[in-house]
Amino acid sequence: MGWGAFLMTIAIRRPRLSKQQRRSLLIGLLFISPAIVGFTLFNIGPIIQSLQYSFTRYNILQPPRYVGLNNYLFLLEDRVFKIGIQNTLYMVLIGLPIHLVFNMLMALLLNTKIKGLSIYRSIFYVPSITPVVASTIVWLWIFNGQFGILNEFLRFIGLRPIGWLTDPNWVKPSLIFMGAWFGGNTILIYLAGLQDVPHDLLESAELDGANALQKTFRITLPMISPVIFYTIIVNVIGYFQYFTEAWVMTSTRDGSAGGVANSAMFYSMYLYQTAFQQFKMGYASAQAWILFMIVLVATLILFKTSRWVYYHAEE
Amino acid sequence: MAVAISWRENRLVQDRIKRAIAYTIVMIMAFAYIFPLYWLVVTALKTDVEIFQQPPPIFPPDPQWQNFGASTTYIPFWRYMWNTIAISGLTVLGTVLSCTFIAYGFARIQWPGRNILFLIYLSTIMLPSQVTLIPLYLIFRDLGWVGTFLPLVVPHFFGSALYVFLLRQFLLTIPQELSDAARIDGASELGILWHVMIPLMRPALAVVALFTFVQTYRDFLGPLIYLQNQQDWTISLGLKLFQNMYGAQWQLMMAASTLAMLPTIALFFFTQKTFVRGIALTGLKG
Amino acid sequence: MSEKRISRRDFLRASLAAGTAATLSTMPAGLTYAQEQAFLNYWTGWSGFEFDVLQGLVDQFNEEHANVYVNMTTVFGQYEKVLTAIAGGNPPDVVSAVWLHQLVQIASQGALTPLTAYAEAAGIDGSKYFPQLWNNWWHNGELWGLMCTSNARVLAFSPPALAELGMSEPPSSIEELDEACQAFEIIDSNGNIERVGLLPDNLTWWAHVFGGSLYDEDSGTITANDPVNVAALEWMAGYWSRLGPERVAAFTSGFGDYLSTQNPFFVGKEGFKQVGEWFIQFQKQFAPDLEMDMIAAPYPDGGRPNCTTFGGSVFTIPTGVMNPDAAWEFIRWLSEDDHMGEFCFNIQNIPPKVGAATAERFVRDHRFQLALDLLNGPNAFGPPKIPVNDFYNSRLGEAETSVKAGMLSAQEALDRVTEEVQRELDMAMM
Repeated sequence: MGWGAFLMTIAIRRPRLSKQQRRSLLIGLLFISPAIVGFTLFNIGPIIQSLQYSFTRYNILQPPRYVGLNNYLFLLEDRVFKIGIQNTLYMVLIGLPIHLVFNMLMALLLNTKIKGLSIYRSIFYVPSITPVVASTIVWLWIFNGQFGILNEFLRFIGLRPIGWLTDPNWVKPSLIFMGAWFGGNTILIYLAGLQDVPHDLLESAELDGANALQKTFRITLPMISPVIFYTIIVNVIGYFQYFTEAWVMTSTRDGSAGGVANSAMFYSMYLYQTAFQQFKMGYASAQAWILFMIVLVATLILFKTSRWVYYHAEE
Repeated sequence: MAVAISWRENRLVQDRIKRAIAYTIVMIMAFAYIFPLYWLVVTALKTDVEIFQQPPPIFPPDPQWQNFGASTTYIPFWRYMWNTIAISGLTVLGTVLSCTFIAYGFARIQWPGRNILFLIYLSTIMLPSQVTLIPLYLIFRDLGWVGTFLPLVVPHFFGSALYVFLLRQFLLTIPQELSDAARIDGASELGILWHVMIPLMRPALAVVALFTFVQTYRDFLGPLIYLQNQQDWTISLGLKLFQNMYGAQWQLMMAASTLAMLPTIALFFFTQKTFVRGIALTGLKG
Repeated sequence: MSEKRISRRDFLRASLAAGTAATLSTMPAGLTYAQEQAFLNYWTGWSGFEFDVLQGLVDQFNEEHANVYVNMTTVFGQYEKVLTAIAGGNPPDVVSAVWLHQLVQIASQGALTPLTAYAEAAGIDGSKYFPQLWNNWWHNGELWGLMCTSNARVLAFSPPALAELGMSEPPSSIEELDEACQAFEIIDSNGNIERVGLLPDNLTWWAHVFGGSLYDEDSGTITANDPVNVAALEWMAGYWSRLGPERVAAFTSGFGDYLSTQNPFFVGKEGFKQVGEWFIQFQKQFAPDLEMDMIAAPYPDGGRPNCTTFGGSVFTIPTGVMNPDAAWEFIRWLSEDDHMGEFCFNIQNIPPKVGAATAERFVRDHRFQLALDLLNGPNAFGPPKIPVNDFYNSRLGEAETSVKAGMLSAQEALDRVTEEVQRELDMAMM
């Protein structure tokens, strides 16, 4: 609310505004007032509070105590926190590119004027709208070391079974593998983009003797680069918050999670444990702020290096 | 001439081969995508002995349909379902209502500073929710809301940047003349929104409603943090508890998971067009 | 006029009835209670048949107390919910899903109501309790909870299964245990494990059996990397490296539900099982035909004979509850010899009161007598009374799994635990 009042005083004091403009400003602010309230109460306010908490020790039940930079210094030496960062980066730098390339390939495949497109589209999309917990439970069973169908298959073709979730080297690849199954949303976004690529462009390229590969790399991909950029941004932010799949896959009866030797401990999981299992709200706030900074820097880098994104003049 | 024809024929053959390869790959992938769901249902239909059979039967000889019924009494399934749908429904209501107003304010009313304010607002899409998680929890705790549906629902009545963006894009495509004509007839902004815009916005609103519903229905972290009493849980929490408590009742867990998936899958099949349009909207205008 | 009034009253009455019916229909059966009653939410960690036994006592309590109604819920499998609820400002009135090893930690976080004054007023002073248990409930001069059950760790096995392997006597040294375990192992042609002798678990217990300890109270130091502890962990992990960590993981992932006839010990997948005296009741319940005996942990040279670690759930009252007096009354009532004895007997736990524990119906069973002797013996160890014990436990657990998976040596893992937990402890003391 303070924001609205602040903005309004600025606006009203500006003499350049005509009466008509002032009226529309008032009405405009009125219409967006839920956003102003929401932005203040649920975004800006908590961000600032979170920074304040990050300099305290606070277990909710006892009043917060100012500890200066202690939380941040402690984080520098927190081994599990570092593992959490490493594992999360693993997902962002390895899992994410694999997923996006795979999804793009699937979309290109579906874009070959295939018959029964709507059926395939549904098949690829449905997993991404099932409740994460429900589908992860299926995967838990598929990945099961002794009775899982995957290992059954490996044994059938004469290979050694794999500890998909119990072998620290395999648990992240397993999660990436499962993640591909959830990626139908991105396939459909790419597909929609591909279908918007102007046909005359592709045809004229064909007349010039371009082959399929050339058409894809010279025309199709540049034309949908804004879509690709969008999915990268959204997924990078999403992967930094990776939680539910890994939590359901690895949590145990006593409430701990993260897999063997924290091999599946991700940033958000550690933050959740710190805040809501150990009730170190100050320490968790420091983690949240570092995450904020990491995501901010990552998005800035992505935007700064986004010259490859081609915006053709349409609007 | 002859050369041209053979070139064309060659082309046709090549095309056909390519087509065949594409079909094969798509079919294999489709199979791979369907298989986990198939395995889910099949496992739900097994007996507790068949579950641990090696090699596992691809289809149980005597499907245990009663597992579905049993799974809904093993955990208070319908109660959790009702909670989930109630939370999702209220969230949809809040999101659609607030985003309509906000989008209208950003798209259809000319006021100084709206573009810069919109950009600031839009930037919240990039904010990781973890950053605000703890202070919000503490605020809701002070309000006495922890353990109720309120922390999960109320924030949605204050808009969501992504959907405001989507609706704003949509509203910008509606010709200005329509509003002007209504204004000349003496309609207020609220009147224009209600009588002129909302009927036109219906497809976009449907997209927002559907996406919000599915998103809330699938949520796990929110309920995990805010819901405490078992009878208030959502289905996702309930399934997780199932996993913790009855580790070996795989067939019942699978049955409950199958049932939990049905609403969103059914919703998708009835509103496929809206979904597909919505996906195109979210991705394209980024 | 009068017509109107009546109709309005009727309307009110009808809507009240409808409202009540609607409310009742959403409540579990038996939730009706008079308005003047104190309504207590009680969260327990027991589930399955143990829950049912306790429910019987709760019903009895509710019958005897016209003004208190206890509504019991299990939080089995989601124990972390307890702290969440207390911190979230929505605590249950009584919680017994607090483990003994967490008590000091939770109490020092300000999450519990001290019971000192209540206990004094009720004349409960520890003279009737096993002293080692009683002392564990005190911290900073206050009493934070009472236990109604307690457990001592033992090793279960099946004498006929042992006899099949040509052994008439259960092992008493670590070497004999190793030998027996290897005799138990069956591995199929695919290399899959079908049966094991033992999968050693819980470093806390074995560390003490080997002669070590986790914490030095006098100097306030964490002693996880004591050479004896390292040796214990090396011995435990030896089972994994011998059988292959991957194969063990695959084997255990096929274990049936603990609380069922599918418990791996009952179906013969394990030769020995680390349990407590409560397992007697589990066996009666789920494998009544199985012949089962129990022994104290076999120990190495220089180790501790008849060594056990004890624990159990503690009945506590969170801070900020509406009706601590009624909550205390429930705990006090359950701690009466009769009620405690009844509950403990039906789930075969050791009553924390000496008088109740030595009753004839308990010690008739020599297995129970064994557990009782261990608990009462010189080599019974409770959890360290430090405010970071949950952290300590989770780090020990991580160390255990890392070493078993072959990722770290026992020395490396325990050095790390020592360093990290010490830092956490120092931080908490700051």
